[in-house]
Amino acid sequence: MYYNDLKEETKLFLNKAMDIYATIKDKKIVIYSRLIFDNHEFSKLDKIVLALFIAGFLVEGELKDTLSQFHDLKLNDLFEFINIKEKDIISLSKTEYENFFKENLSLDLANIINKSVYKNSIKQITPIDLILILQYPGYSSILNFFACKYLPNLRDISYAFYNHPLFKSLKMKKGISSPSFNYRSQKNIIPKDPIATFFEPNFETKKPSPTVASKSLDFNDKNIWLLLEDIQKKFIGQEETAENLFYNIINNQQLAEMDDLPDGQRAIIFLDGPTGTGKTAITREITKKLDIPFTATSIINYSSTGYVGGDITDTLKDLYQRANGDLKKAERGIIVLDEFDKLTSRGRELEMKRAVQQQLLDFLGGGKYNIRVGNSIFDLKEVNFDTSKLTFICLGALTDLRSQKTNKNAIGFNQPDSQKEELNYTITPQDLINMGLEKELVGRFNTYLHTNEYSKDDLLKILKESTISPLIGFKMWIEVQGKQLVIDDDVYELIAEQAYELNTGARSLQTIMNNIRTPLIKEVLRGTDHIIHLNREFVERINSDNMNRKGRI
Amino acid sequence: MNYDYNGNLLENERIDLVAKEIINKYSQIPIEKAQEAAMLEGRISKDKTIYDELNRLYNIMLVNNANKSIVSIVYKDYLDILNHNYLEEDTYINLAKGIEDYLNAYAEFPNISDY
Repeated sequence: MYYNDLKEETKLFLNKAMDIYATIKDKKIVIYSRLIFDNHEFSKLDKIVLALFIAGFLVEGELKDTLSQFHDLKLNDLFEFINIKEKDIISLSKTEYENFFKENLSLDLANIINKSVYKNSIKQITPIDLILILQYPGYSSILNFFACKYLPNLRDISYAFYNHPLFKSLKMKKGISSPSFNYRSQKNIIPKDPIATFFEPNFETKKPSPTVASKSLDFNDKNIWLLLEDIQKKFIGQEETAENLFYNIINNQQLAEMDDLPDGQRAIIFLDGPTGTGKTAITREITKKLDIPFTATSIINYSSTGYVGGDITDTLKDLYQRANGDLKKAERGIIVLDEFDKLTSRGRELEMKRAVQQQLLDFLGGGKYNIRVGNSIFDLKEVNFDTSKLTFICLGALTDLRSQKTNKNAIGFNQPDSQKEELNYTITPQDLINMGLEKELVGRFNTYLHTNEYSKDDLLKILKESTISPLIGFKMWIEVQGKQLVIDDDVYELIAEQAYELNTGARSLQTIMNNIRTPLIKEVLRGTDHIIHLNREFVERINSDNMNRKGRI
Repeated sequence: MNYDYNGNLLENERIDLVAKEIINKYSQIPIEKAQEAAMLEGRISKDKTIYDELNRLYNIMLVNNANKSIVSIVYKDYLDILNHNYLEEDTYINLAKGIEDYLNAYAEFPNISDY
């Protein structure tokens, strides 16, 4: 994209950003940030982000007005943060902008926009669009550093800037579901311009985003905490659980680097939560970000030696393979044992459950296991796998226990949102023993976490705002067909309401969307209308048809 | 076909992963079409069911219905699943008849909502 292709309004905005960037471009700016407990020297990208951010407030009246409503956030603070005063800003000449844009801004700007969910052409980007985009992970770090310095009252420093009411206010103005903030569109419908095309995700050679951890990730690097931001943004309603889990996993990785691991220091985690609240998903996302070998398995697949079923040490082979044969890396991996609640009930398979628990006892405690690895009989070899540095996360959906603890019927989805706070609870080792787990096994767990039940508001937020909303893919498909999906505002609420009643967490949203999607596909493919309108009546009818169909089966 | 867990992925990552799974099985399908089929399915965040498998195959056939040779290859796998599994609902069985009619040029490609 060339400077001369920009719309006039966009030019005005970017000119101001270029003025600011030109002013600070060659200045060495170092700040101390309590977010990383260290000094941070501004990178080129940091400077560009701040230049774009500040320029927005200088050229866009609406932004200025919004900012003026917040007494704790001052434009002057932003200038102070970059070590200049407003009057210091130099002005490039009209003829300079074109070259400056090409040499200093265009690639970074295209990259920033391409990594976001903005779907309109870069040529007509507005200051508000860009400021909202700058919230997205990767570009937000420097804004968080600012927030930590100038907005000390914000509660969660790792998530500081997004929590400021300024963003909520801007999102309200913009309308979070407005077309410009839907998921990035397919290339055949996005307006073509060379830079956008250049950064178009390539199916074969797509590189990981810069926020994804590299293989040489240093678990003692304070910047690693910035990865948490991405994870929390993805799992709306489970931010605290994600943070606790992240902390425990990092802590285990740091401990694993010690030669003599102190006994009992390593976290062995029991994670409880209703179905569909993201127990597995959060764990997988953390391990993906941290590039830790990970394997998940259902405990009911395994049995003690001599019984039918797999052997629990199969998980070690899996970790070894996922670490590409790097034993040291595999030994620091994460094993998730799902459906742990199935071991608690007392039934006719009690003896086998006890035998499995006995095997788990040694496994979780940290022992050495000889495992045979290799892809064929020609390269089979035996390796001695030490499990003392592994992280174990045991997942369970202890519905009955949760009901008792919260003193609610069912699992609480039928409670009004206002009562959600009352659903907080703590699991104790005695609870698990009372439910039928062996005392010795329970003694191995030293960290108890739980995911929260989703409220209607959480489900609505996931549907409208989350990057994993089940609406996104379908909208993309409709756009590929050259059509557009328009959703009435009250439809979101209806879907969230119906999902809430289905009572299977975020999966309920998926179920409702699956029901809606099927008849809409026909309309998209066969109908003549360019706009596919999803209204309340349609969703209610589909839901009622499905209920009737289920009733017939 | 491989069905990896994708419950934690961003939507574009999920689409890429599913598209890769589709292409690994059916290398003759263009990437764009595999991605389209992926857009039409939901997340896999628990063990896949027979319905997940049939739904994916149907979506692949739907987006490739201009190319009968691809549809007929996928349809064989679809029938294979039907032949080896007991289904509580007959939607996917009736759909098979519709696809067969389409392959024999008796009808248009069927829409699942009609069954």
